[in-house]
Amino acid sequence: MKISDILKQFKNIRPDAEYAEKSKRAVLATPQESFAREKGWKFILRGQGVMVLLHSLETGAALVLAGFFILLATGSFSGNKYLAPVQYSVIDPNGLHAEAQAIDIQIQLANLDYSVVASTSESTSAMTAGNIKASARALTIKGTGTASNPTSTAVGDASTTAPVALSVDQALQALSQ
Amino acid sequence: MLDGEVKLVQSAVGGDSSAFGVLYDHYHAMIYRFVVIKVGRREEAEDITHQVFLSAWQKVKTYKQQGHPFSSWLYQIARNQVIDHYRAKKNDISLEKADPESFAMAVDHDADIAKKMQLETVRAAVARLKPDYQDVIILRFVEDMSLKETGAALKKSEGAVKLAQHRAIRELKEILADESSAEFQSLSIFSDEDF
Repeated sequence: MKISDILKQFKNIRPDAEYAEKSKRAVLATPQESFAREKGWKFILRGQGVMVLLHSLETGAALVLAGFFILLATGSFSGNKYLAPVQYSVIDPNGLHAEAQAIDIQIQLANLDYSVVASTSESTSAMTAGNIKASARALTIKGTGTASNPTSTAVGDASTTAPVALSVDQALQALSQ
Repeated sequence: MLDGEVKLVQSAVGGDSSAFGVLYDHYHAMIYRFVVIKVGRREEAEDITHQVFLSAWQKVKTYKQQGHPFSSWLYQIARNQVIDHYRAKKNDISLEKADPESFAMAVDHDADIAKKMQLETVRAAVARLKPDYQDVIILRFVEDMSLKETGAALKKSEGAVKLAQHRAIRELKEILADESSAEFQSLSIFSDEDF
């Protein structure tokens, strides 16, 4: 007997009629999967692989958000590091300090040419009995050596001393003393 | 292909259970044969076939007409169900556990013991082929499907089906030649005219 003939006999295989009827009724009584209940992108992207991927992304996003809020709650997270427009990492404090040290700040005292004479004459002309203390202070700058007791000598000196022109260097020296 | 199948399928996709019932009546025996030849046990074949149609009914809304018969889609579901079945029962299935009497009874109630043994031996030999070769043998020689229909059901080109058929026949002959039973000696297994 040929194999092909045997295989053709397999076509006589029939399922049990009672089983077939029961199975049919059971199948048709089962509700179909409803895609109408799905919304938005879930309805559009209803492929199995895509759905699995989306569920994974949702889970991942939830975990990331949870971790972020835990960090915020514990206070060990600083948003400035990521949100500040200027990144602190590019600023070198040591470099800045060295640069500040290197700046040559030179105050041109030579240009400071003001006349003590003018100020002295002004103070003399404006001197009154009640203005003796101010005059004494000016004499102290002149270096009379009586700074410890300005009031006692001021009166006499003020009446005898003529206006003196001081150079800037002298004024600074007097101030330093 | 069933007359008016396209309209029936459209109705079924729209949720018409009576239309799907007509498709069920037409294709149920075909799918059952496909499954029972592969698994060998009637009860398991019934369960798997039920699952095939249940799955088809539940997912019929995703079916898209591509010019192939509806049976192509059902065969694809059936193939996947059989694969799942073997995967689930990997350590439990063996050819020895198949019930030859049960299978032969399904084929021919009045056959004598020798014929029943012959039927079961050929079925067992088919079941030992690779799944792709099993599919080709069943669709081409049991269901008498054309190369084009077989290709549509198996998602292969006609050339690929031809090649698979050639190899499946060769392997089937080798399997049957290894058998030493007297029943096989009476089979003209080495003749190309068989197929």
